[in-house]
Amino acid sequence: MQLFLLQGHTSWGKRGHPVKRDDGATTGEIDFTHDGTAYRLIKTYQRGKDAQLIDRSTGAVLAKKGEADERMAAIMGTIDKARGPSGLLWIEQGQSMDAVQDDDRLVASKVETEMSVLVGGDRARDYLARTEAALGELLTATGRPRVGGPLKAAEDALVRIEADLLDAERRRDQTRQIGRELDRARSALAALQAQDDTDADVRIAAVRDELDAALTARAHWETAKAVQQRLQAETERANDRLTRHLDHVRAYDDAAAGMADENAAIASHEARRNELKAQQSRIDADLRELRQEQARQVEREAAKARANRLQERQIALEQLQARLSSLDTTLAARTEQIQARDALPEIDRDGLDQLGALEATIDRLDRALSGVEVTLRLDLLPGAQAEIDGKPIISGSVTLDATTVLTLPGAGYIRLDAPEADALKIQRETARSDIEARLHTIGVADYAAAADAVRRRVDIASDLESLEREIARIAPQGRDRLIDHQQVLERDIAALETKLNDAEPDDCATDPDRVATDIAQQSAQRIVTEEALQDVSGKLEGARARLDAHRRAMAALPADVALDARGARQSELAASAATAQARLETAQSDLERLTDSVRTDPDILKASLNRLIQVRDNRAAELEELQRRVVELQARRSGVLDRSDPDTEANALMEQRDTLRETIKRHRQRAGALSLLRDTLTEAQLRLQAEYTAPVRRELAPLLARVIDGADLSLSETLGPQGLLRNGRDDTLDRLSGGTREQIAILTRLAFARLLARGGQPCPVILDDALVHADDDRRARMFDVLTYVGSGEDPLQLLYLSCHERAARELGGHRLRFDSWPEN
Amino acid sequence: MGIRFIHTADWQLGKAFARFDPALSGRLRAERQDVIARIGTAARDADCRHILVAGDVWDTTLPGHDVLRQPLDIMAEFGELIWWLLPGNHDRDDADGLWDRVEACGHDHIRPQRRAEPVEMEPGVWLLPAPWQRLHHGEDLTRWMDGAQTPDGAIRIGLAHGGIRSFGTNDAGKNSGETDEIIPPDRASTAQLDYLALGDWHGRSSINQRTHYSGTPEPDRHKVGDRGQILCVEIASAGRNPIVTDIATARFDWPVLTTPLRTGEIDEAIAAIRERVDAGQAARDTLVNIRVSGSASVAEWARFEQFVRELSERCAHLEMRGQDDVDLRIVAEDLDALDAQGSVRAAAETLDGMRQDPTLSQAQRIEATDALRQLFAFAATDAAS
Repeated sequence: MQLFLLQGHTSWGKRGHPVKRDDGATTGEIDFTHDGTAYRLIKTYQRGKDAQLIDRSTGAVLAKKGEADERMAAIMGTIDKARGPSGLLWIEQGQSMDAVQDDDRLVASKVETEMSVLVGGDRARDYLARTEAALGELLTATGRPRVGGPLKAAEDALVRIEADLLDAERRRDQTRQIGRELDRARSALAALQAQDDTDADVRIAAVRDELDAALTARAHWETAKAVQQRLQAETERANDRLTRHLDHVRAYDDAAAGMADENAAIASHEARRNELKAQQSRIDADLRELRQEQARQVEREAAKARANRLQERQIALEQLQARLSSLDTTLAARTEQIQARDALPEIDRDGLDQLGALEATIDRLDRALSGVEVTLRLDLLPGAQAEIDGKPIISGSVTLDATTVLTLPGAGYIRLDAPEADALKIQRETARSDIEARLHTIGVADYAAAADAVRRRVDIASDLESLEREIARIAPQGRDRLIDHQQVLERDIAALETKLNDAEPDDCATDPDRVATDIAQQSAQRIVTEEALQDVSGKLEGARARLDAHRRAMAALPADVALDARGARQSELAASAATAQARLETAQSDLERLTDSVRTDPDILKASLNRLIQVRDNRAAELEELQRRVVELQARRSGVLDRSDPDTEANALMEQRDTLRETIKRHRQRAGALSLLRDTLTEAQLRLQAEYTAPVRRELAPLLARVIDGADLSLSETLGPQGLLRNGRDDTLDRLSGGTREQIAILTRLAFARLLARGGQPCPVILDDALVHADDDRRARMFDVLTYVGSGEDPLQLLYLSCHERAARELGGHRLRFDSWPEN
Repeated sequence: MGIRFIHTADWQLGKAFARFDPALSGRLRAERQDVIARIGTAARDADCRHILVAGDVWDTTLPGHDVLRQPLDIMAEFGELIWWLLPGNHDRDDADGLWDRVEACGHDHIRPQRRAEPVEMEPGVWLLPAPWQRLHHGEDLTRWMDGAQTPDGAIRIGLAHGGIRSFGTNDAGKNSGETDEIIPPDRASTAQLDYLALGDWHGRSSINQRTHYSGTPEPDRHKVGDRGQILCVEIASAGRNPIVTDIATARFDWPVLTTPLRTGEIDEAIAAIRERVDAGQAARDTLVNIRVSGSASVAEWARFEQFVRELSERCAHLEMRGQDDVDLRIVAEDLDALDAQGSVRAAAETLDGMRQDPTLSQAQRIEATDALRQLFAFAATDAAS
């Protein structure tokens, strides 16, 4: 049916296979009615391609070949789109989830209007995609300029251009600066060259002549000055020799007088020294006597102190010996107590309590055993005997307990058959064995003996505690320390006694204070004497040293100062000084005469000459420098202009910068417009989607509720199922089974078909084995829905095609069967 | 005793034209040099011995050696002609030393005018130049001409560079709001000039019978009515009015096509543009500036844009301004054609509302218009495919 209704007869390939006959021909025909006209369509695919559309009522061929295909496409509304409205409602197995295909020429009702919304939706998506593509060339998703895009490229270029511009402006400014410097240099050079410089050498020559004359005069004056200075020196030396001779004469006389004085002083000091030494010997003898006496007195005091210490040691020894005796007595008592305790049975308070508990247990068991009894009524035959525990009894009531036995001589015994009593007995025997074992272990006969032993142990322990406290009081550090102390005292006493016995008897008594006072006085006297002796020795040494000095001074003087030679020498020196003074005065007179001729200082003339030379040289250097500078600056500027035009470069870069800024502004403006378009399209899509899907959902709701309890569905803008809301819980379609998803899709299309039908444009719905995945219950519910939408006020025409006959058996409706193609 | 000479100005040799692509900017730069030869030829043809260049011979004061030397060589090739070159504001005679370099080239027939003093061009004809020596000189450089002494009966020709009329207004003279540097429009009269040759304005302009701007011989920007020319000036004798004749010299055409659009008449606008472009130089030598305004329907605008795109492929350069000012008229049919009732139509209606919303800023309204224009461009593309 698909092939015949929707595909042209020239469709290529294997599409014709479904209608291929046994003879290999791929031909078929279909009868149908459209708008009240009965048609027959005959098509042959593959070999012998052909198509004919025939009016069945007249048998006229309405169209052939391609025209027949076009007429069919017009009838089916599939001129442009292969599946068209039939595609919308032709639900093939496994393809129910495909998006709705639409056709804007199909309907003219409200539904048709809604369809056109979908057409707008498609276009909007297309435009949105193109808008985003265009925007994506400019910006990234986060709104930043896209790397590689025109905006980013322009921004990057702008950065580069601005950097280049800075560089170009710098070079331009540098070139301009070179020009300004060149201008200044040229001006300075011209100004310098304009100056008249012809008199510089004349002025230099005049100053140089004046300098030569001044230098000659200065040479004569300096010669006279040298003569005067030499004579001045000779005169001074002659005067010095005379003065020195007179000084030597005075020194000779002074040394002779000094030697006489010192000899007298030396004699006086030696007499005084001898006197002091004798006095010192006497004082030393007195001091030795007094110190001996003082030593004897010290020895006497030491002997007295040792006697006192001996007495103290003896008293301490006696007290220590008493403590040792008391300690030994207490230790012996403790030993006795320990022996008494060790002789007692080994039992303590806990052991005694355990014995008592066992005794109490045995008593309790005995009382329990005695409580287990039975009363018998004994009737003895005449002659018969009975006894309990060997005691005969007579007829009447007899009470047997667990411990008694009724003996019937010759007949047997009667015992109480009581299991509880046996258990009690076992417990009692166990207790008895336990108590006997404990008594045996302890070594006592019974509980009383054990209790007595415990009491004794308690008493001995109390006594031992008292003894231990006494021992600790007497010898807190132990008996050995007492013994050690005793031995120390004994050694001290022996040593003291030995020293006292060895001391010589000395009964003399002197006043120690008087002896000390005498020693102090003699010592002071000794010091005074010593100091006086040192003073005299020092003076003596000084006098001898001065005497030696005078002798050396006299020996160092020239021989002509002696009394016999000094007069002739003095006359000779005085005459020499007078001659030198006369020659000096003559030289000074010559010098003063020449001084008038050297009033002009040659150094001033030299300075003047140097200044003039410097002025001339400076000007020449400045000229040279300026000329060099001009050449250099010209070369520099020429070098720059050889390579480029920095001003034009800067201007060009500024132009490029402005152009780039405009370009960036244009790109940003375009990005803004594209962003706005994108946002506006998106907003419009969302809004219209909500408006459009509402009526379909209203149609869908009752159908869906019949199939899936409590379900509601959200639709995509293409009317495809989008999400399932089940009992208020949102569920995505992906999580549903394939069968459920298929059912939902079929229901959606049925809802849309009902909407079309209500709009006056009913369309057939073709289900091509579309429910094979449904379980029996679901399929039955779907069949209910199909029956429902196929009936009522605006029924749908449904074609349910299936090769699963059993699955379709519950469908109802009109069942059709395809027959084999007739052979002829 | 008369004289015939060429008046030209504003060659601005070496200008970069950096806003264009390198190939075009290279052509434009080269053409500014080549026009010198055309000027020389025109002078020969007009029997002129003197060529007065009223300033801005070079575009900067630091031209490279080639930009400096090659034009001088071209001038020198016309050995019988004398080129009187005046420093202007672009190539002023300042410390950059441009004119020192020109003089250093030593061409006898090239006469840089670096001083404001009368120069005898030929017997009985005196030139009174007003050179620029700094960028901001702060005075009217032609003032000295009033008192300039020349022999009685001599023809006096002033040569100056500067504004006499504000470029941004139609006002003229001292009252135009410009600075004291402005040349008074009656200078030719007060200085008893037979002719005042002016430069600085790249467009051709006649201030009065004796005062003219020649404009640039090779246009370098978009100007209304500016085609690029030199002036041939003939002065029969002192006191006689000059005869001024325009001689076209331009290679490139820089038309400004002011195009007010009207809904329903877009084809007429297209035809007018096409006619104007075809009437000028070859399209490949034409740099078109289209300034649009008015209104157009969506379809008309799409058609107009398509035409502009195609025209731009023919021209050396094309730029269009004023798109934002064009009122895009959208009617119901446009929206129906775009989308019957779908989300595309809803988006278009939203954008249309935004562009007409007075509470939005101008920028926002322009943005909405651009977005709408883009939407219709998508539709136009669909229709075309």
